[in-house]
Amino acid sequence: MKTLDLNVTWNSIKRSIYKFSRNKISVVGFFMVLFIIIVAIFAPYLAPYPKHAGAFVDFNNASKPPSLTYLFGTDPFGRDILSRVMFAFRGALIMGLGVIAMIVPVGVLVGLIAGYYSGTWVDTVIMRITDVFITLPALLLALAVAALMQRTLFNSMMAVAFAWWPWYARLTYGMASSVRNEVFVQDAETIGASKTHIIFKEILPNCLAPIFTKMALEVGWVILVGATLSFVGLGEQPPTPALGTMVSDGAKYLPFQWWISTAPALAIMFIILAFNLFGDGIRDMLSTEEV
Amino acid sequence: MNELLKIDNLKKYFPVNIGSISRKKIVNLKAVDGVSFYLNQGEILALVGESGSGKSTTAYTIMGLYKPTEGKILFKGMDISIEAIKRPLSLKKEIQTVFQDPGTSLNPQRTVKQILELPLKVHRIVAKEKLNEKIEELLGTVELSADYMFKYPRMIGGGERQLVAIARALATNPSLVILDEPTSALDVSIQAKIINMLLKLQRDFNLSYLFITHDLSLIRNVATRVGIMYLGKIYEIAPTQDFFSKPLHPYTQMLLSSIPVISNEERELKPKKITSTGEIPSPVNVPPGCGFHPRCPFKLENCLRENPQPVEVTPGHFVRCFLYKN
Amino acid sequence: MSDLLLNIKDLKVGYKVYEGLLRVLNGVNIEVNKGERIGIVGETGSGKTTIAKSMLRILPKTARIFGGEILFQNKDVLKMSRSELSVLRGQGTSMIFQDPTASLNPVFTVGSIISDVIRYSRTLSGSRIDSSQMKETAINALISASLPDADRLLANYPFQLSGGMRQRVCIAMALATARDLLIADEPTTNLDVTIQDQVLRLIKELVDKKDTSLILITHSLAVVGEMTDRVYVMYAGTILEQVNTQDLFKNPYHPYTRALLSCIPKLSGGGIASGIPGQMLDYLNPPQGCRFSSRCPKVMPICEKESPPLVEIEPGHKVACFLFTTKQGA
Repeated sequence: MKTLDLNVTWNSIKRSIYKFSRNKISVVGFFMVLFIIIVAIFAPYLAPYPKHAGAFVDFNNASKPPSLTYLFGTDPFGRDILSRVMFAFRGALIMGLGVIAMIVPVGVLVGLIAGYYSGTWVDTVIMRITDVFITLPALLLALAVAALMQRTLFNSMMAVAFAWWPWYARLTYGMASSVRNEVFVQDAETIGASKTHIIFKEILPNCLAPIFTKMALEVGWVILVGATLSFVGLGEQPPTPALGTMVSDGAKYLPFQWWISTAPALAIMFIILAFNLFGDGIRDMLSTEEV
Repeated sequence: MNELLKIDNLKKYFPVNIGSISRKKIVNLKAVDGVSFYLNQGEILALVGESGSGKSTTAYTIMGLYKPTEGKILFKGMDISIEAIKRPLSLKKEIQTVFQDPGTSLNPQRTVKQILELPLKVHRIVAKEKLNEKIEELLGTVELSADYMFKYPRMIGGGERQLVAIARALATNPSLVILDEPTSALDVSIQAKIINMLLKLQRDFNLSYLFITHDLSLIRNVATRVGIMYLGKIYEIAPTQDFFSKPLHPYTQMLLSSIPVISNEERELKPKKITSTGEIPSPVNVPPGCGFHPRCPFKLENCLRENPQPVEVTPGHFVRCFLYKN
Repeated sequence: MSDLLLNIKDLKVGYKVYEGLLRVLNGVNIEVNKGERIGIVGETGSGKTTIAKSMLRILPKTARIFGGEILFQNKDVLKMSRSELSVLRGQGTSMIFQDPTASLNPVFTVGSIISDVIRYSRTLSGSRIDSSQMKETAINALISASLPDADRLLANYPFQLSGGMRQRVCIAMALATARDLLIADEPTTNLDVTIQDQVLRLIKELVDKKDTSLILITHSLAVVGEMTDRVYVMYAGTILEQVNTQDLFKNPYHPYTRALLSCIPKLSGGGIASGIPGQMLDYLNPPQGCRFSSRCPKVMPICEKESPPLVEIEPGHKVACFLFTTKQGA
């Protein structure tokens, strides 16, 4: 009996992998994301000059262009930019994954409840509150919230989360309110299932596909918002490397010492591209298309 | 007579806006407009009709998915004319449903095991340790092997999904099973298998069926009694034999004459004098008087003004039509 | 010039899926003469829609054509160029699908949908048509499809019409442009029975009037009985029996045909047979022999090893079954 169960699960996994890998570019995205994660975790071991990511100065080697010793060049403090970028991946990933991890449970729960009670006052109240949050421009809201609080990574994550969660509520609400009227939900009701069961065991599993896709695609954009916050000086404070801060610090040296801003900017692009491509693959993998 | 279910002048109206958003015009969509019938223990009553007839709405109101606008539903003598949410759990155990489209009546994200577990857990039919055993037993009653437990609905065919839906309906040992077009979406050879299964289960467990369908040939071979619905009312109801040998209402005759058949024997049975004309009106716009009069070739003066009440032409054979008297 | 309009020869079509290749059509042979009405009867998964789509080459991207020819007026559809295909689809043949709602674009009025189709078809034939003529042609098309109030109907959107009316609009469009062949794939399956009757009678009437050939694809033997002259019985991508319609009911030979007939609930009562044991074929690993052998009540050892050829055992009556033929012939 157990083997049957495992067999079916294994087949489902194989099928999902097949659907993901049909588009070669998504596979590239997958490896890019993997690369980012490995670099972030193992930065202290992979970076050529790990100490440069902390309090370090070496004015002898300040503002050196990219060379074999310093692959991305050095910044005005003599710190190796490559190493700092690698360490900055940590903050970026924590921001991206952390924010998503915070807003998804909240947004999805809100959307599910509104969807279950769709058509009643509960739905109206919840969704109008959500609408209020959505109408506020996310970036401005995040900036305002972050400016009011102490400048830490965690606080800037909270700021972004505050602005971003309603989108998940809305997405989930859209799915949940239509699934709610499906025959199998009505059937569960006639059988006598509890509301909790219906919301979490009948409706939720049918909403997951677009939620997961959105999550995968959005990590990159959350990281961008995080970089924007650190670009204006909110978020992580020096000497901890943050991509946005590095771009803004290097801005005054353009165009002659171009490498100081360019490397971190390219890193941001790389991260967003990676998650976008990966997200496309997730979308394909979760689609209910017959294969 | 062991009367299991009695429906008394049931009405279900849905307010709809037939105007625009700025100029609202709310009218009542009279889905069910005064339906009365009874179902005895061990009987198979078929409610037949085309779209807009109200047959499915009637079934859904009995199930409790809708609250009746008027009228009473009596189950084993008890008044149960309330929505499912308000009904006691013990009642839900007694009335189960098999829906039409096996594509959506089974949650695509749950395995067969999880689907069959639900009624067992909700009504505490067996102890937790015995769940798997009971599920195997249920699958066995519909002649499916235990292998099916871990499959998802998309992995099994339409007929098999319907068998799972039937097993699920039987899990709580109900007295009444409502079947809403259970085989309409299936091929004829699979339908044959499912129907025979349903008949066998009905005999073995002494079940009572309320069978909703549009297929008259099918119920000729399945039902004990048949009722024809049109625009929310029952226009004719009779034991199967009487219904088919002597169809009284012009709509019944129109329906019967429209069915494509394969043998000359059957062709002989089809009413000749009447062929299908006209469109099926919407239940938003029920014609005054007898709802069928716009399409009726035999209409009288009275039909445009008054609504005919049911008359018993032969014992057990009722018809709503001014052409007939008691 | 022969009477033969369409000649499908040994068609083999399949689909590529994750697990491999689904070999659906296994060498199908169908002939349609001018003015003939033929039916293709089969259950879900028998491949009948695949044939229909192959005829107009509107198969999905995952489809693979392994062999065979589809000769329409002696030209192979499978080898036609884009422009030749356009002519085929715009003028020679038309198709009506099962779901009329999906066939009509919901954001256009009935009038503009029909005008589009007529204009396109006229452009293909090289004749021009101006807007006043267009309206008249459209109205005539609707009237011929028994649609009431044709003038007002042109301004309606599909959602304002009932299912039966939508299907009739589709039929009107199809017959306004089809000269030679009309393919109807389950045209009435989604309709109520009284409307189904009206729509089928309409198709019959129009097809007779214009002497258009008809290929009616359905799972209902009863519908085929009332609408066609000849029937092809399909199972798992193979033609098992081919016969004149009346003879099919009087004298069915193939065990599948007989089983199918016994499963149909009869208006005269008498119960229904218990279905056909077993399950639909696994197209990934089709058997070497007869594709019905695993479910056949009369299976013999040879059936599992060899595939029976379609042989004429009586004039106009062909069967693919070793009960009636040997490997070579009758």
